[in-house]
Order: sequence, then structure tokens, then C-alpha cells
Amino acid sequence: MTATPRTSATHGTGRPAAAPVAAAPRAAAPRPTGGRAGLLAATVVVDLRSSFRNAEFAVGAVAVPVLLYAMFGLPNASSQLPGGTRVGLAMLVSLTAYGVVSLALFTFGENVAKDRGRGWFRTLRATPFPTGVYLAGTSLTAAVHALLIVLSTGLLAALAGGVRLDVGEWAAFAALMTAGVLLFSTLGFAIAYLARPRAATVVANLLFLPLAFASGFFMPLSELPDVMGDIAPYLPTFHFGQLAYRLVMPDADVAAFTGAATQPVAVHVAWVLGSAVLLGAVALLAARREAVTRRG
Amino acid sequence: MGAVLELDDVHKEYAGVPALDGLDLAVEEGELVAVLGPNGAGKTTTFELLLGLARPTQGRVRVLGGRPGAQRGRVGAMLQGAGLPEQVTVRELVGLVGRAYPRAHRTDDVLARTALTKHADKVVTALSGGERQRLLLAMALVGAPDLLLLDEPTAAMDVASRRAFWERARESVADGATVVFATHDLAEAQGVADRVVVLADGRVRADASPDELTHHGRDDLEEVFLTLTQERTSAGPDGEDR
Repeated sequence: MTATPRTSATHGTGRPAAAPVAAAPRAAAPRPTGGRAGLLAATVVVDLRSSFRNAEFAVGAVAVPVLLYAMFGLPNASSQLPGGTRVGLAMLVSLTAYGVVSLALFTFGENVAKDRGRGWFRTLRATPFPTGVYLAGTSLTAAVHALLIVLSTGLLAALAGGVRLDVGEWAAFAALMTAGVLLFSTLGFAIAYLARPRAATVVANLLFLPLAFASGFFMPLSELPDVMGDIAPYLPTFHFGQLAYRLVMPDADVAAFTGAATQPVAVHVAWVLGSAVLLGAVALLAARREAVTRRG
Repeated sequence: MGAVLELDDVHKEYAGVPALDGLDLAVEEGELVAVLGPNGAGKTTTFELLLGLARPTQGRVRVLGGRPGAQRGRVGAMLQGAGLPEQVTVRELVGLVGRAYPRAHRTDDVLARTALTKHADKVVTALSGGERQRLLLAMALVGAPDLLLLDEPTAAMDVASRRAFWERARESVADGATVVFATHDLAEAQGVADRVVVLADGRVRADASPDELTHHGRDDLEEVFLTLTQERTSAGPDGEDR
């Protein structure tokens, strides 16, 4: 060993031995980012484009509710419930609500889990881009996807199923479904941070199927085992469905179609909002715990 | 010229296992510094501390005069094994990250500078390993950083890509940036850096110019490196760096 390197924290002396590449300094200009709102909007645009490049998304998130409606809604569309509501409308609500909850758990939750697993959030944390803004952007993207589900399933129901709602009812229905995906994205978010990234899909499936069946999205609760009806009132997705049915159908037809007695609207709202707050808090705690563990 | 980054007697433990054990290091403005060390030497941990992704168990870390993470708008980073979203194009990703910086280059300029113009509309999953590394470099450069922290940046690159990569890095130094990079490639460190810092077992074992380390080329850098770290060539059982 003949080298006598310094072992202190002093600095090197020479400039590089290799000739530096001649390059004119390129000044960067201050660029308006639009603040957090600008970053949010940019995230939504990029995330939307990204989602439409993904064929699995188009089929899984948007086409499945449409296909289910075509298979199960259209054949019964002209039948009527005792209060005069067309079954085609009730099925539209069921399958759109199914699509929205599925979107929140699978598309949103699974994507967050994948991004977390592959280290994208770690990469992002090394930049000034706030991870929370990015996540909020992906939630808003899911809301746009929810509108697409409403639009595509609604168009099929209106054109082929004879479903008629006035403009205000369509708007209220679309607004509720959009709000639904934002509220249930807290559940997707929680799964993404509580489950190991590779297990997130399995966990989401384990939760989603009972939620969808016990909320009466696939068939009336009266046609399912009693236990489904017993647990339904404790599920936020059931209450979300009830809100959606009651937006466009009389109470008697809601009860006839779902096989569950109606409750005051405030009860349904409280369940949906309360669960969103609780799950959101759980997800934030899990994300914070992970950040603290990583930072040490 | 002032210190762009300083680590004073920094210790870092993960679950009781020391990753850094009294690390002292200071880097001044405009330097291009290579950090060498065997697996487990503490290179990645050092970068994580400098980026504010981890906190020291003990000691003081300052970056651009403030606490790590407080100046992210002036720091560009390439992390080892950095994850990226899959279905996003090169242009979208660089543009998106660039929006978060207070001063930023035009996206097209950065893509040209990193030889990514013809790949601008490719999604991440369609990129080769070298292209992916150049994308990470573009993301690190887009904010016109005063400090570039590059953790094994050329690991997946072929010779031509490496050469081009370091040309880009030198352009950044010419623009006034300070560059600190970790590498296992001794020739790369010798050929590129103004100064080489050798870490082993969480401490600085040597800190000198490549010329000084090799006594003006009389010694082989690989031999020097092995001698400095031979008692410490303790690649963990998983071979991962800490």
C-alpha cells in the first residue's frame, strides 16, 4: 500500500483530469407551476392519459359494468317494480355502484399499492413534488373514470333499456357516483398501505366480493342467505347503494328491489361519510407509520 | 466557495445495525465527487440522509445550508433502484416532475440533453435499462439543481451511454452544479471525479483526488481500494448496500 490518502473530511484539490465537455451554460427560467392546484391538474392529465394506455383498465374498470348491464340489466329492463320503476333503472344503479366501488378498490387501491411497491413514492419524495398532491391527483382521476362508467352504462340503459331520468336526476346520480369513488378510495388507499404491495389485489378481492354481494349490487338481499341481510346494515357500500337507489326511485321500490327496509337518508349519509373518515384516517396513519419507519 | 453539503459525525442505525458510524464529509460548490465503497459501506444510506429520506441516529447533516429535505427544489437525485409509474411516457414524467421545481429547464431541452428526444413518447415499460437511467437523470436535471446526488447512476448502462451520461453530468457542473455520485466502478470514479471518497463500514477511509489516491498513477486504484477496504469487504449476506 503506497497511497497515502487523506482520511479527514478535507477536499480534493484538482479539477477533473478529463476535459470537461464544452457546453454553454443553460439558464433555467422560473416557471409558473400553478402551485399545488397546478401540480394536481398536471397529475390528473398525466394519470388519465396513462390509464387509457392500459387496456386492462378500459376493460376492467369501464367495460365490465357495461357488459354486466348488457347481460343482466337489458333482458329485464322493461319489467316494472310495484311502484312503477323500471327494473332497468334499478339495475343501472346497482351495476354503476358496483363499478364505482370496484374502481375505488381495484383501479385506485391496486395502483397505489403498485406504485408503493415499485418505489415510485420513494422516487417522488426525493423531488419537491408533494406525494399527497400526487395521491389526490390519482383520486381525482378515479373520479373522472367514475363519470365514464356513469356515462357509458347510462347511455346503454337509456338507448337500449328505455331508462328515462330528467337532466337533474342524471346529474345528481353522476355526482353521487363521483363522490362515491372519492369516498371509497379511502378504502383502496388503506388496503394499499396496510397490505403488502403484492397482496393488495388478493385483499381487495377478499373484501370486494362480500361487500358487493351483501350490499345487494348483484341480486336482492332477499334472495341471498339471511346472513347477508344481517351484515348489510353495517357495510358502507350498502348505505351508498341505498342512497343511490333513493335518488332515482321511490322508497317502496327500493325496498322491493333490494329486499332491505329503507332507513332515513341521514343514516345512510352518516355511514358513508363516517366510514370514509375512519378509513382515510387509518390509511393516513399507515402511510405515516411507513414514512417514519423508513426515515428512522 | 461554501460547503454545499456537510455530514458531521453522523451515525445511522437500522434496527440496531449500524449503517453509518461517525461519518464526516463536506463537499464544496462545483465539485464532482465520487463515493466508493463495498456493499454495505453506507453509500445509499448517506444519499438517503442527504435527501431527507432518512434521519441520522446521531450527528448533523446540512444540505445547501439547511436541513435535508428543506431545499428539495434545488436538489436533483437519482436513487438506486428508483421506481417509476409504468404507463407514463418519458415526456410526461419529466414534465410532471419539472413542474414541481421553482426553476426548471424546458422539458424538450432536458430530453435533448439526455438523448431522450426520440424516446419521448415511449412509456416507461418500453425503455431499455440505459434509457431508463437516462430518464432518471432527466428527472434529476429538469429542476436545474444546484446539487445532483446520483446513487450508482450508470449501473445499467453500456459504455457509450456511460460516456454520454458523464458528459451530461459535466455540463451540469459547468452550469454551476455540484455533483456527488456513488459507484462501484473504480475506473469511472478515477476518470470522472475531481475527488474520491472511499467509505467502508460506515466511515470515510480515504478522501482525495484520484491522482493523490494513486500517487499520480503509480498505484493501481483497485489495489488502493482493496487495501483501504480489505478488512471491511463485508458485503452482507444479501449483497445489498445499506
